[in-house]
Amino acid sequence: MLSMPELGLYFSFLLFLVGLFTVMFRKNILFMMLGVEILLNAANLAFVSASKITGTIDGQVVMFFVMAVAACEAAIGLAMIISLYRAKASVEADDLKLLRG
Amino acid sequence: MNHELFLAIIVGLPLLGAIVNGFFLRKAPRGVITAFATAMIAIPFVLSLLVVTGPVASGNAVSTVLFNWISLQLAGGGVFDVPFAFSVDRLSGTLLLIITGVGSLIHIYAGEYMHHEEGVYRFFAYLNLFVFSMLCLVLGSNMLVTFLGWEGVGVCSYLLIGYWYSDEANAAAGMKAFIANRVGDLGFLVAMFLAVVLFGTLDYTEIARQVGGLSPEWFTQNQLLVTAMGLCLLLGVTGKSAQLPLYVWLPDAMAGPTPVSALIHAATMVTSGIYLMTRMSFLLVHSDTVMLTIATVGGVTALFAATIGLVQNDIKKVLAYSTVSQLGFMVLACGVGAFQYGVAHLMTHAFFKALLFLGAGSVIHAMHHEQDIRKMGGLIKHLPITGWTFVIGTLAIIGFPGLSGFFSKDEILYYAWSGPFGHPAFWALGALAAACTSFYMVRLTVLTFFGTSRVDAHTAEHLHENPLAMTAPLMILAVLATVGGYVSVPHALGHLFGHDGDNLITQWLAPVLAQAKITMDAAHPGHGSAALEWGLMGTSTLIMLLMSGFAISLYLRKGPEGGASLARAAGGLYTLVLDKWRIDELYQTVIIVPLKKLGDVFFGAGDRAVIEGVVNEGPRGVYLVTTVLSDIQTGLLRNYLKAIFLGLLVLGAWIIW
Amino acid sequence: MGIETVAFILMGLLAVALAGTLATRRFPVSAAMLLITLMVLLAGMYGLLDAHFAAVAQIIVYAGAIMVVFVFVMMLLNLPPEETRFGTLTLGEGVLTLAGLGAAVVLGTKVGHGFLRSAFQPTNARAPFFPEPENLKNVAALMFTDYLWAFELISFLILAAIIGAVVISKKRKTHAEHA
Repeated sequence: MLSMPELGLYFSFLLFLVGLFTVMFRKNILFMMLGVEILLNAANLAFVSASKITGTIDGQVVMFFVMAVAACEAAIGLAMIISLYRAKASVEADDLKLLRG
Repeated sequence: MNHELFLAIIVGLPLLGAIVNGFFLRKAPRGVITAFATAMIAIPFVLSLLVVTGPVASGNAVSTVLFNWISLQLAGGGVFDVPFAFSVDRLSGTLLLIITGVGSLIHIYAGEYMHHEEGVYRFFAYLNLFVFSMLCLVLGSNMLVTFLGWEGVGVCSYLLIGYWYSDEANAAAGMKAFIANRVGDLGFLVAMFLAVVLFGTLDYTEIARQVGGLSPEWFTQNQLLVTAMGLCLLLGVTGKSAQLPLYVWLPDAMAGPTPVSALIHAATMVTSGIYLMTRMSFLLVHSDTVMLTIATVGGVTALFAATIGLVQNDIKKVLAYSTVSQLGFMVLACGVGAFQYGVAHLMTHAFFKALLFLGAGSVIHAMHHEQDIRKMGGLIKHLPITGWTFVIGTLAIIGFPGLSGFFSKDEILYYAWSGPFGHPAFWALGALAAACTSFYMVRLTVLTFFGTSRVDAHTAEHLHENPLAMTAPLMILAVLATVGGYVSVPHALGHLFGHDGDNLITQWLAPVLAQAKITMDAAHPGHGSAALEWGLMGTSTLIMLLMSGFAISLYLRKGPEGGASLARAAGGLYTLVLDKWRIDELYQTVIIVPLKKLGDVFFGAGDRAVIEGVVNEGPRGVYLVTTVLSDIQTGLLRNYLKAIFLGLLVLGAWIIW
Repeated sequence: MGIETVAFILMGLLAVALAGTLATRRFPVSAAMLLITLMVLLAGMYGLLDAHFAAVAQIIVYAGAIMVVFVFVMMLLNLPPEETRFGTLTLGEGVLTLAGLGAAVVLGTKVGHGFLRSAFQPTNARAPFFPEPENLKNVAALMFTDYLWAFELISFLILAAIIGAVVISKKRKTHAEHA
């Protein structure tokens, strides 16, 4: 039988898959950002679980840092979405291909 | 007094003048520019007088090392040093005085002559830079410093010939001078390499010391290299001193302002070849081949250029060919072993040819840039000072007894016959050239200053003598052209001037030429005599008088038409000489056109095929690769995400297994 | 199996289910609401794992602050409901995706018990894991000693992000307005 933190790692894995799916296959940038949040949360769950398994507290500290990075990412990402929406009146990822080689 | 410091100042001031004029006085008033530039030459002249009359006259060379230029540790354990050093002995002292003295006069003159020109600061910056280079050339204590000056005067010559560069012909003349000089410079370079190979040093004193200590067997063994070095030096001389076959640039160089022609293309730069040969005399005399080649080149050039001068109608062109011819005399003097008379003629020529050029410049300035002597005549009424000083210059160059050219040229002719390497044939070449000289110079003077005026009415109204700043140098030079020859009074006339032995120039240069003299005396004792000297002197004076009289009789009454019947009689020969023997055309056909063809071949096979091929095909390959790579960059976010995802999988797999 | 473990499993399954629902929503706002719920569930799971500070921070910072920004932006844009479109998949991409997902599942299985055990060995090198009320104190102690540099750098990052967000979303003057 799996212990609780080990189960946490498995849930983290499943959440990560769902998040990845959202990021890769939704065309709306807002949904892609939500997918990124799911990915980050999955990672956080893994950190906290690992912290419990190893009996150290580092995982929780890193989880806090991830949260801070997520805040930055959300701020910048959403600002970019607003700016893009102003320029293109669209939040479709496929409409943004100026970087095509 | 610190003469070493003086030496550095003498060389440094013209450089300072060039820098200040070129960079900081662009907007300054003309008077400031002129005065500053002149001061930068005049102060060195005064210092030169102190140095030359002081320690140099009493027999001590003054030298100073500014810094160590090149220092190499040789593989064999030796050291190869080339210091940036200057030294003055009696030879370089003589040239030092000529350069700074005549240079100062010409600077004063040029200030007035260039009065109406734009960008005078540029002119004087170049002129000062030229004097600096010339001083490096003359004062350098080793061949490399001389070479620095040698190249420097070439550059300045190029810059000044093309001074009015907006006219394409002037720019082309500058380039022609530069390229012809480069050919000669190659000779000098190879000579330097050979000096390093043979002696392991470039220092004149050190080479001389080594040569003095070498056995005749050494010279027999290394005859080839010594001869090669001498011939390479001669190639350098033919380039810089405008001798056959590289003289072609000098007549075209007249495109520059007249003061430039006077300073660079008459008095100083073109004589640097004579200086170099005299400097290296101790080595040259070890090879008969070299000496005979030098004498032949000089003699033939003297006659050849003089014939072209006979028929030219441009006042400066006549003087240009005359310069080539007179330089031929100097080279001839060196070739027959009479180096001191080469230097003597260099000095007198610097006086009278600078005088003639400045006189011509004065005429041109008064005539509003008219240079054709067919449109002159009778100018002596309007330009008395210019005219009479010009007459003095003419008398000096044709060797009228008592004036400077008489002494220096007659000594050369005498030694051409009787010198250590002399031969009557050389004398014949020289005498013929002197005959031509008398004719064309008298023709020039008569057509310009005497006879009836052919000046058009408009110009005639404005015709008046130039200001003192231009005539004063003429008068000073006229005095020098008159008395300058007394340093080389012929032996036979020596008792008239109170010295029975060697004349002044021989005594003065004896220390410099001592080594060459020992070598020559051992191998080729001279075969002169007082009777021969008197005879040759009389002959050449007679020739001079005859030819001058002939020219006067032809041209005084009838003007330029006077020579017409003679020209008709000569027929095709006249046209050929008028076309300067078509030497330029010959070079065009034999050298330039084949070179261009060769260039076309390289352009087609090398540049087009290889270089452009690489340049064009290389990018095409890169383009193909990048097309594939850029296709991957779709700009679609999800494609990048897929790539990230795949990378994540690979990383995960790598960590777990 | 204790009540805590059962609760943990239920919360985990619910969280995964919520995430799956989220991925297929048409309205961004409803998706955001689902995400907020998901985060609250995660906070509960952190609590069950004795990470009380993490649980509190999750609710205050994540569900409270970050998600509010999301919802705010979504309402600001006021997008019309979109039909749930996924990127059109070509055959090759579909195969690639299936292969990738398969590989992921294989990896996940491979990441079994043994691997987890070996990867996360309990260690006594650091401050031992204390349950509440010592948890916050321990996190703080570690954060301001060993992770001080990271902490400071993160604070700079947040500052840069604030300025960056302002600059990016600022309405730019057009060239015409400049002139």
